[in-house]
This record gives sequence, C-alpha cells and structure tokens, in this order.
Amino acid sequence: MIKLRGADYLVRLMELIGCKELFAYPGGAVLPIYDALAFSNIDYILVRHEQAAAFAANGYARVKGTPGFCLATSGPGATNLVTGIADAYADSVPMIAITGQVNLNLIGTDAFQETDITGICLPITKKCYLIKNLEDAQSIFKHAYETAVNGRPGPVLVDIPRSVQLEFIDLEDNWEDNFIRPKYTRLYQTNDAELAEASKVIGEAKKPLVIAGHGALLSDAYEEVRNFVNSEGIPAVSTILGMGVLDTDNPLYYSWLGMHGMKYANLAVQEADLIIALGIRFDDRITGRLNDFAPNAKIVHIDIDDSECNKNVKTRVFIHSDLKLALQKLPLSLNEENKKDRQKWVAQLDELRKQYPIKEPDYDVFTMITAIEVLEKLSPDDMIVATDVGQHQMWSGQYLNKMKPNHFLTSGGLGSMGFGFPAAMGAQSAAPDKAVWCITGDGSFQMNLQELITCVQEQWPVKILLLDNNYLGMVRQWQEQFYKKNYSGVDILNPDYVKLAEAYGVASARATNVEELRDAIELAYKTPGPFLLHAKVLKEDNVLPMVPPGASLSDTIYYPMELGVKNNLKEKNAEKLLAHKV
Amino acid sequence: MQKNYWLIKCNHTPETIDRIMMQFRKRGLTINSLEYKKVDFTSATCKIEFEEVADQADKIYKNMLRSVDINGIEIAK
Repeated sequence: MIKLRGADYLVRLMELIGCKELFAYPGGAVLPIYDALAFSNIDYILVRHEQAAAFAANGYARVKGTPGFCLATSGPGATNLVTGIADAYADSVPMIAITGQVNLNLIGTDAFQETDITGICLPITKKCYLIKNLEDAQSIFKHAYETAVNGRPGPVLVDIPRSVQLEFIDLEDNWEDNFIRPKYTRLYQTNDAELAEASKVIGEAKKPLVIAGHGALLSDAYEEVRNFVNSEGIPAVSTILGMGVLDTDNPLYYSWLGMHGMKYANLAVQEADLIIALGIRFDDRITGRLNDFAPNAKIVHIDIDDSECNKNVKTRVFIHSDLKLALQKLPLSLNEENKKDRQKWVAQLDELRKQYPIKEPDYDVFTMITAIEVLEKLSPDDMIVATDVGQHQMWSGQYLNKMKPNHFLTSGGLGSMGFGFPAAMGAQSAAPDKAVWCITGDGSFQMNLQELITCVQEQWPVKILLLDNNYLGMVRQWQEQFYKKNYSGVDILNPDYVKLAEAYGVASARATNVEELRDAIELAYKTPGPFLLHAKVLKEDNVLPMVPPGASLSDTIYYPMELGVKNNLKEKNAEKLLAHKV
Repeated sequence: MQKNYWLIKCNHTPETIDRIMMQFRKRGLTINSLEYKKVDFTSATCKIEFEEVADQADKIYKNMLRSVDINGIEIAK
C-alpha cells in the first residue's frame, strides 16, 4: 500500500486522463494542487487572468482534438473562468475546468473566496462535480472526461475543496496500472433503415444543398463530408464555425452562410429543395427569420445531439449519430437522373456566385479587408488563425481562403470579445511548429491584452494583427444602420500599442498602409517570439453582405456598388499586388 | 395554456433537480408540483406538473433532453 496526499493523487489523476498542458492561475484554494503540480509532468501555464485560461483551453482543444484543461482558485478565480466555460458550451468544445473550493466544513459559511461555482456553472456545463471524498476522485475525473468528449462535446467543471486536497488516501502499489483510462466512444443511435430513408430523400431532391457545421470538425468528419459532397456532386455551404470542413477551392463549396455570409450562399439555401444539415444547430445567425428559412426545402439532419431534432426547424429525416459514422454508412443516392438535376443546380449556383461575388479589396485604401488579405498571402497554408469578435471576425471569415480544418478559431455561439488572443495562445501551445495569428480589433484586444506577458514568459511566437479603427466597429455599424447614426459608447480611446508591446518586451510594428503592413508581416515572421502588428485602418467601414436582424436570408443586403466597379478593382489590385511582390 | 404532466427518468446526482428546474427558471416560469424519488443508487424519477402552451413545452422538453442526467421524459396525455 502507498499513502498519497490528496493534491498529489488529484494531479496524478489529471495526468492519467490526459492532461499535458494546464492553463491556470494559483490562489489559496488550489495551493496544495500547485504544490503537487511542481512535481508532475504537466506543463502548467501561468496566465494573467483566469478568463484567458479558459479561452486558451478552448483554442488548445480545437487544435489538438482533445479536451483543454484549465484551473483556477475558488471565488473570483472560479468566477473569472465563467465566460470561457460558457463559450466552450456554446461552441461544444470539450473542456475540463478545475476549481479550488473552500474547505468542506466552510461551505455555506460565506467563507473568504467562497462561491457556489457548481451552481453558477450549471447552465453552461454538461456536468459539474464537487469532490467531497478523495475515494470518489478517480471515478469523478474519469466520468468528467468521458462527459466532456462523448456525445455532443462540451465543458465540465470539477470543484475540489482545499480540505480534500490535503487529505491522504491509501492506494494499492499498482493502482496506476489498474486505472482504466476514460474512453471516447462514437455515438451511433441510428440504423440502416433510417440511413436508407435519408438517402432516398436525398436521391429524390432536385436542388439538394449541404450545410456543414462545427460538428463536422468536432467529430473529425471533414474527410467524410468532402467525400459525400464530391461523390454525390451535391453543392455545399458551411457555417462560419464550419470553415475548413471543405476546401475553398472545391467548386462545389459556396462559402459560408448567415448574417455576414455570402449572399450567394444565403440565396442557395432559399432556393434549395433539400437541406442536408451536417453537424449544425440552426442558430439564428444562420437561419435569419426562421419562418422564411429555406422555404422550399425538406431537411435531412445528421447530428450527435437528438435534442437538436426539430428544435428550430422541422426535420424530414433526423439521423442521431456521430457524423463520421453516419456518413461512412450513408448509401450513395447519385443516379443518372438526379445527376443531371444536380449539374443544373450547380450551374445555377455558379451563376449566383458570379452575380454576387465577395467585394474585391481596394488596395488604395487601408482597410481591415486589405490587411487580412495581405496577411494570408504572406502566410503559410497551414497557419492557424484565432479571431476576436466584431467586424474583423466577419471579414476574417470572408477573406481567409486557405484555412485547414480546425485552423480557424472563433467564438461563434457566445461571441466573446477577448477570446482571440488567449485562444491563439492555446493553439500555439497545441501546435508549437505552426504559424499562429490572432486577428483582433482594438476593442477585443483590450479585453485580454495582459496575456502579452504570458507569451513572453512561455516564449510562444504568437503573432497579433491588431486592426485598429478607433471604434467598437460592429456596434458602430449597427448604430449607423439601425439607430440613425447615433454613435453611443463606441468611440474607443487606444493606448500606444507599440509602446505597450515594448513595455511587455514584445516586438512590434505599426502599419498605416499596405506597404508598411507587408514589411511588418515579414518582420513578424523573422521575429522568433511574439509580435504585435498594430494596423491603423479605415475608421468607418461596414461588413457586408448582411442579413439585417429579424430579416430573411432572401433579404441579404449586398454592396452598394456596381459589379463593373468591382471588376475594375480586381484588375487594378492584381497589378498592385504584383507591384508589391505580395 | 395547458397543464403538462411529465415523468422524467434521470440520474440521481446532486444537481439533477437543479438541471430540471433550470429549464423553467431561465424562462421565468414556475411549476405547480415536483415529486423527486430516488430509485436506486444511481437513478431517480421526477414527476412534474406545469402550465405552458404546447410549443413552449416542446422547447423545454428539447432543452431538458440535452442534459446528460436526463435519460428520458414520458409525457402524460
């Protein structure tokens, strides 16, 4: 028999369930755990705010494909995790959040730094656990891991009183050998008959359209989605979180839909007679006015979560399954007859794409769009981008064209400003050899800029493209469009970001035009550590296309300019880009 | 408004009742009655009665099903 202190046992259990990187911040109620961490193999990263720990765990999980771990002390440490946990819940990202709690005998006494964190996190987790007995810790950690990864993934919270960390437990000498590691099991609650029915409905459609969502990435089913689209000859769009599921150069991929999606993608949905929804939840940002969504279409919906069946839209066939397994078994519906229909449908969508192309950036004006485009042109194909929330987020989605699966990280469901930079840190930690950029705005960046020093300390070469328009741009845009230009609370004062970076020991540069930006990006890539690129862009600019709130996808607002002008821009830009040797 | 009677089959955990009630609380709804009974070491049943129109009740049903502690809901006619 061996005797282990609770904290040592708990940390060893964390290791055994797969915790390698832990984004964390210490405090009184986790001091025993920190004591044990010092003797563990876990790489525990000292963030500067617990919210960043949760966002970093999110970025890590998406890139690595395994749950992200974060740790905070009781009370304010725990409550600071909350936004990051809610974000993971909204985007179904597997995460294990661990919090210290006051001693068991102090719970309910309003003790120093006591909060009911399991109660607070109830609506934003799949499951919360309070470890009251060390003997239960093994089964709780195993259950927590399995809950986070199995079915629809999501965050769980494990709350551990300090007194439990200080108890001792008697264990068999070979307890670790006997530890049964948690299992990831792909859910398959469907059958051949349901799949045959889905295939029949797909085969009968004349204008079928795939909508691929985040579920396709979470279930590692993007190859299956690609095979399905290509072998069936069925056109596809994605959600913004589904970016990367399909290659942008696949002619059957018509980009992403929704509030700031492509107009042709939105119109494709409205024209389709069948929607094949793969790992999506029909969020209001993609459906527009629900009553008018895909008015001519039946819905075949494949999802791992049966609570999504008929939740927002009426489904003709629902397949309750992990997407990868379902697509592997879905019978081919292509035949000579529907092949012609599909070709005609694809030709129709090609026309729509020609009619409503995405705007060509004007390189004479330094906008967020030009900055994003130049960054992509100068970056490797496998770069990872984490965005914050706002105009830059939507433009990043629109103008980044070579994102690999799980390489575009954004806060889709919760829309948390402050997400981008810590998520990029988590991504860099998961993929140390890849170029990782955080594309952010001046509003979002100020929510977690304290993490600059974390990057310096960890020697993470995260690069930041800070698109500064001196506004909370998306809010300003809405005030312009829907509140008669009554700009209220959006004029944001900024620090001198280059000096700020300097103070943190981060290399930096400022860019006010394309030439300076190109030089700065080259410098960023030559710099071994983190780099802050402060790009001062056009102050007032609107993200289009746009589905106004409460409107139908059919009413997508397009650019107020003639197509001829855009074509001229395209030629002009080609010359300019050549001149810049971009 | 109609009366709804549900028999919820659930895991017996410290947070199960909260996870059931959460769906009503977050909508500003009250329930008429709740009867929670432990069945064995790991499972329980929970009978609830509440008043709500059908389509809203259906949304509550969907949301509740997302909870990993809810194993099934029988709706009495």
